[in-house]
Amino acid sequence: MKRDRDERTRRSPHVGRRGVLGGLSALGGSVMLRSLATGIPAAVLMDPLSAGADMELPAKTLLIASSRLGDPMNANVPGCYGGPDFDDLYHPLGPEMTPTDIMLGSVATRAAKPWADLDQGVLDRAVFFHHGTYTPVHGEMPRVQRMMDGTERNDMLVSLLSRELAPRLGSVQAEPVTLGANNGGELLSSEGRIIGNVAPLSVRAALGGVDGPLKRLTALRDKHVDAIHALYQRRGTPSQRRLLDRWVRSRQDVREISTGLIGRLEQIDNNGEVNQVRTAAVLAAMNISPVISVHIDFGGDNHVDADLSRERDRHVTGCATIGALMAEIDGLKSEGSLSQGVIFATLNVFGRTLKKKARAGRDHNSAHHCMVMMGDGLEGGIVGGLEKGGKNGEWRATSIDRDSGDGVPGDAGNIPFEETLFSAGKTLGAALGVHRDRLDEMLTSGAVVESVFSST
Amino acid sequence: MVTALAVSWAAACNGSGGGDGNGPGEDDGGDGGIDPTFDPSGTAGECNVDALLSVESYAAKVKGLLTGLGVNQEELAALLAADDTQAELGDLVDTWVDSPEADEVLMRFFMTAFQQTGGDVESFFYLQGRNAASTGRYSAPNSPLAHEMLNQNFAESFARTAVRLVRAGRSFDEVLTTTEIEMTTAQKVFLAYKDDVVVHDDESKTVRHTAGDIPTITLVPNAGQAPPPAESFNPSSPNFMRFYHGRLTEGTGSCAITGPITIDTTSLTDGDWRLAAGGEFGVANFLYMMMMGRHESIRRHNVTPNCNTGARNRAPVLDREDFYDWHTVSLRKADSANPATKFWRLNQVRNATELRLESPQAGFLTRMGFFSTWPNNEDNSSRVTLNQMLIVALGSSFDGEAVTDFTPEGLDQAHAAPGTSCFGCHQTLDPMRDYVRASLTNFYGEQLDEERQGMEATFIFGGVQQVGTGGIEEFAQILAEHPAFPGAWIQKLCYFANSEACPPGAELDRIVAAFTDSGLDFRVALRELFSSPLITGESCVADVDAGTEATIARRSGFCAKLSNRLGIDDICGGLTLPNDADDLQNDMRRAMASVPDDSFSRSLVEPLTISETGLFIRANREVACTVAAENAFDEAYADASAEEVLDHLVTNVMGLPANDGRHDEARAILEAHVAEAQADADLTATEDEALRSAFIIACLSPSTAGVGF
Repeated sequence: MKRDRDERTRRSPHVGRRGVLGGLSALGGSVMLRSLATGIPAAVLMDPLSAGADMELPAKTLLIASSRLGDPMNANVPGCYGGPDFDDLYHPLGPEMTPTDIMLGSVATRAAKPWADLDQGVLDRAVFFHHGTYTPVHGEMPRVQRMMDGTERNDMLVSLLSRELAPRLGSVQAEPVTLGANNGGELLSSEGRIIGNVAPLSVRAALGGVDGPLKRLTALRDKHVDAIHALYQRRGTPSQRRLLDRWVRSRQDVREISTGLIGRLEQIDNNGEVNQVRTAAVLAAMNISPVISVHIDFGGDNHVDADLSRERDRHVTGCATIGALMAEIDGLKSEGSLSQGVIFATLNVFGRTLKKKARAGRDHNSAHHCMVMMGDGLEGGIVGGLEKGGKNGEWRATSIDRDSGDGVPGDAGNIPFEETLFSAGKTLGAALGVHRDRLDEMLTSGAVVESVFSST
Repeated sequence: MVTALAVSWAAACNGSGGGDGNGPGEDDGGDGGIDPTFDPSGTAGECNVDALLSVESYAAKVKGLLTGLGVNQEELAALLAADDTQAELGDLVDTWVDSPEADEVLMRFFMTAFQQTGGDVESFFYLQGRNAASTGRYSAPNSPLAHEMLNQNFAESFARTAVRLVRAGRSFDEVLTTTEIEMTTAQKVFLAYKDDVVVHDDESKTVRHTAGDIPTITLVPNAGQAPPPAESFNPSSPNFMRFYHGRLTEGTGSCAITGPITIDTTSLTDGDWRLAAGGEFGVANFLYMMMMGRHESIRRHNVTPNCNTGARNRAPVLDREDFYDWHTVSLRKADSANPATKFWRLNQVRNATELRLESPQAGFLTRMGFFSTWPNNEDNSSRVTLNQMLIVALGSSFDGEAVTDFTPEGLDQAHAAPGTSCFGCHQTLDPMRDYVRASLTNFYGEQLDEERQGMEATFIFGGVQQVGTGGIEEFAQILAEHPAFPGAWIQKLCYFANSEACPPGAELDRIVAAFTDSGLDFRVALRELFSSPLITGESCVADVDAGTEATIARRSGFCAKLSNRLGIDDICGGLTLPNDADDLQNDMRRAMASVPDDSFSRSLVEPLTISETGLFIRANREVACTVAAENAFDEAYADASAEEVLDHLVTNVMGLPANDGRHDEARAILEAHVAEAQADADLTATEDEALRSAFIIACLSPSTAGVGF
């Protein structure tokens, strides 16, 4: 792996692509300005090739949308249009899903209209990473989160990232928060412990407490709750003491949360997707956890979906929800309530077939999924691509050239198809500011695709 | 690690603390440090157990789990004095399981364990081969919608059945084969309707029992003109098939209706009013939906401009009580002498303790709660259904290991070719699913397609192999006789109690054997397991490499504790739909929404039993305790003095009887809280407020909010 990393840093892609390597050392003043503008340490900008090995980029919060249903999110994203033989790659018809020219940063491409309707400022920071998840089984969502059992101590990648980022962000807790698990299969776990889902209304209730005559007794009550805990501690088994400690810590965590943003939760009136992303943005601003998960419907398990109409409708609402999330984050930043960078990403259990049933519906596709990444420090673009070669001539993700991020048919890229999931995970980790050496420990396979990072 | 030493240490490392009534170790004065005289790990390390639980802790754990109640002084004294605490606890478990409080606990356990709780509006209509719509509700006071009440019926029905089987000491494998089901009238109507209107694999429909029964239907535009339902569904009444329709008065011009109209369901005449949905299905659907409070569209035939009333949801024609009148119903096979029950014969159905049906019936496998939870379609072709049946019955799923020398005809090559990663699962799953497909359509109607009816299925799983054409009933019998069945249910109970599986070994084998030898008497399973050190953590267990963990009390368990300790029925509204619930139940439901409950997930073998706390879980529980303090306190402590309230908080809410070593100090802490709250000049709490605040402390105490304290 050491050899791989060395090779990667020698061929750092985005720098090569822009041809600025070598010029930086002579442009110290410019570098300083860029450092100030981007938050990326000047040393990294001066020598980005060694950044992976030696530097930490600013830590960011991850807001991740996951679906165990395997929504057809992979079917209408940039990268699914304009290919020479894409005639049997089906999309929903109708004006809502019109293939539309868009710019992802400097990359001209096409996507379904709902994606194109996102603000240009969002698209300029949007990366569409095509890869496989290697499973067609709904129940393997937790395994996909564990990168198909390829992670350190077989923990979920988002949980590893969360624990890594928490001390750097100064987050209230190191475990992820799950706001929208539709089903037990979407629950996250950390170090083997399943983390319960917290619906937006419950977040509001938990952080707001109960306004009433008993509220003013809270501090006194905390003192006597501690006394009760001490009583049980003294007679407790190690296991009992561990749980008592966690109760105390949890209570302290709640009391320490800044109440300044709680008012923003007052508009939460149900647990729907819009309120999930609104809550996620507020929790990010409160710096509760480095990782917050939501569920955004892009068409669900649409085996039977005449004319792909459900897929069409849910893309319209799904992209609008993402747009609302990004606007909420940008709004919190501009008012100074959110200080750290934020990345929004998606990871479903699998993508869906693009050809097999034409417009009658879509089956599971273990060989193609698209991880969408949006946010600070990213350069808009497409990573990977599509080729035929899946079961029954179905479309699947290509291998990837890790320098350019381009898809390479025929498995001729230096990121083979079998490593595309791990590479997506590693690239996400790098985008969040996790040190590359640490990423190599978290995920023993795959490579960071450097072309996704913004240099401006 | 298995060691002979471990066994020999078992007696020595009993955690009861010697039976002096003060538990393991004495109070060290309350400085918050670890009691120096109490070493809970003791010799546990010698037998690879993290730590042993005291009698007080494990007795509280077991009784709390089974009944929601705390241990009383007599029970604890008996355990402390017992020479054989495991036997004594076993006797107590028998008593606790027999208590009425255990009914609701067992019911909640079975609702989840049999995966009956996933119904929603979409599944309700999908089972009828229709797109989702809505249904009616009763007013004054507003009830839940009819399909919401029926889905709740579906969720509870088999759990109630299982509780009855357990209470009667019946062999537990009857959960796979029984045709004696707890049902409401509304459920009986639905079941008879579904048996009548078969939705085929291709979504086409056949009406087989009521076709031609109803030549005319009369609709009146005003509710006051409608006869009572008993007359509407009585063939000898002059008001037979006369109903109120909520949209008749809305038409104008040529679409206006001013008086009753009679619809001929047997023929279509241009310009006449007709049911919008045609054919026999249209008639059956119209009547069934009328019972559910949905007035389906009618229209004038072949006219321009089109006259279509559209649908309207009003009060169901069924009585409100029809959704709550639980009783045991025998589902019997219809034959020429005993033809199938007609769903619209409401008076007969309501009084029936027996339904005659064509469709196959097999315990939990054919319950609407299960079908609603796991909708089927032609693409998954009963794979999900079959797999979830295995998970429920046997606690097992397909593991992907290919079986050698077995090339089944039923293997779907389009899904899994030999040599692919999917082959191992599909090799055994695909031929087994034909047990389901031979009996049931994609919409869980009876399979009437002769090709599929005759399909030969192969069961090859867990060391059992059988080939047959007996469909779902044969499959149920195989599962009932499968050697994995008893152990699977012991493990489900382990998850319920410990939030994790019981470790394999001699003790687990002993419990499974005792359950099996009892003729699968579930009460024996409860007694043997809940008195076992696998749950109590009382002593070391041979072959076991871990002790029991203290966990949070999950939602149902915590709510059962609050309900039963405060004497307030279903305080969190877990078994009460929001429109039927009072303010306290709805407030508690909202507060507890993110405290995790027992659940299950598609293709996940293990029950989902979250054991850990977290920021939001803890905070939400505090909110729930505060809601209860503000809104349940008066009901629980109406005429109690402050002393009585404090006594009750410690001995009942916290579950620490006077002979529990923690009782006195806990009482002192609550007393101090009440005193300080009133004495503090800044707080100026009244006695009532101080006591309510003390209630929150008791509610958040480890004995109440946790399991294993």
